[in-house]
This record gives sequence, structure tokens and C-alpha cells, in this order.
Amino acid sequence: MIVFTKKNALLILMGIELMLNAANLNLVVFNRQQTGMDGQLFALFVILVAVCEAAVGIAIILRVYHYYKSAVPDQVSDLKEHE
Amino acid sequence: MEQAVLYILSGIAAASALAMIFVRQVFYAALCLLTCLLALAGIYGIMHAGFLAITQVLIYAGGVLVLIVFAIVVTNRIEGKPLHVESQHRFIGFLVSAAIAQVLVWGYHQTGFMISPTQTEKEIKPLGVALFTDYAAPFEIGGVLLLVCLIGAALTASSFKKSSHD
Repeated sequence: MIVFTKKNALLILMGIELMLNAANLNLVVFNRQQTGMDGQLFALFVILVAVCEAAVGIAIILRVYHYYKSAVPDQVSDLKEHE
Repeated sequence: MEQAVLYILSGIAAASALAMIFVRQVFYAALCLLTCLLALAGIYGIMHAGFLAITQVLIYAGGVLVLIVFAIVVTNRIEGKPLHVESQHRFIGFLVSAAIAQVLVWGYHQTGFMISPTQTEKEIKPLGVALFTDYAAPFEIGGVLLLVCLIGAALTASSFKKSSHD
């Protein structure tokens, strides 16, 4: 819901991190019903990928802010065709 | 006792995640995300995933969130600027979230909520062994991914003096 409704690019990124953490929580909790450590290892790799994606996403948001002077995704509309 | 702590931590995580939707300023939402991540780390500790709990605190709360706070400070020129939410999309967002929550709750009921009796109580040694034997390939690819993202993020966010470079 945060990714749908919010108008700040950083808040959308935080919503994506929240969703990834929710998936991690499911992985770790349902690992208790299984033998072995598969759920926790998968959660570790999810943390890895989420960190990489957050770093690159923030770099892109900073470049876009530097050019458009705004962190609102609706105002990044150079490619949008006008009616 | 362990049950009470688990309920309290789950309540803190759920409440701070809900608070992220309703606060008006971006920085307060980052603080709510911080409390949510720390509560989740506590839940991982109770669920016999100690390594993952420490990793969560170190990397998420101490790395990603610091990065997000820096980006908030850089991209907000006016301090305390309120954030307006489009009301049309709010209803559809709530519908989609409720639909996903419904599917997840149905899935939880299908599992039966039992704990496997052969689940080992040792936390770190099976993790390390599996990481280097069964999961060695994702481990190495993860290292390459980290390198690529490090270089990519550093190159993308640097050289602000030039206006265009190819």
C-alpha cells in the first residue's frame, strides 16, 4: 500500500524494503517446521539482494533529483506523451 | 515468558509498519521503519535464527536505513515538508493489500502450525556448513552481485559537478 499511494520516491523505496522484510519473516518463521536451515539461508540471500537493490535505487533517485530538482515520481514525466 | 516477548515484538513490528502509512513526513516514516526492523530482528532471535538477527541489525538497521536517511536529508530542501497522499489510489491500494493479506492468511492456515520435532537447536554451525557446501554457488554469485552493485552505485551517484557525461 505504501508503494501504491505515496508520492515520494524514497518512501516507495522504504515500502519495498518493508515488503522484503515481510517475506524474510515468513521464511524464518516457517523454517521451524522443516529440518535444516534452508529458510534462513534463503532469508540471508534476500537480505543481500535487498541491500544491493536499495543502494543502486538510492543512487538513481539522487541522480534524478539532481536533474529534476524533485523527488516526486509524478514529476519525472519527460517521456510522457501529452494529449 | 517467551510467548509474551514474541507477542510484544510482533505488536511493535505491526504497529510501526502501519504507522509508516499514516505519518505525514518522510523522516518519521524512516524512523518507523527502523523500529520495525529492530522488532523483526528480535523476532528472528526468538525463532532460533540468531545469525540472521544480528545480520538484520547490522545490515538493515545500520546500513540501508542510514543510506535512506542520508538520501532523505539530501533530497529535502524544506525541513518538515508534509507529504500528501492521493486519495483515489489509497482505496485501490488498500484493496490490493487486503487481497494479498487474505491469500497469506489462507496459506498460514493450510500449514497446520506445528514445529518439526527434528529441527536442530544449533544455530550457527549448520548454517555455516550449508553455506559452503550446498549453497556455495549462490554465495559466490552474491559476492559478485555485491561488487557490481557497489561499483554501479558509486559511479551513478558520483560526479555531480558535470551536467552530462557519457
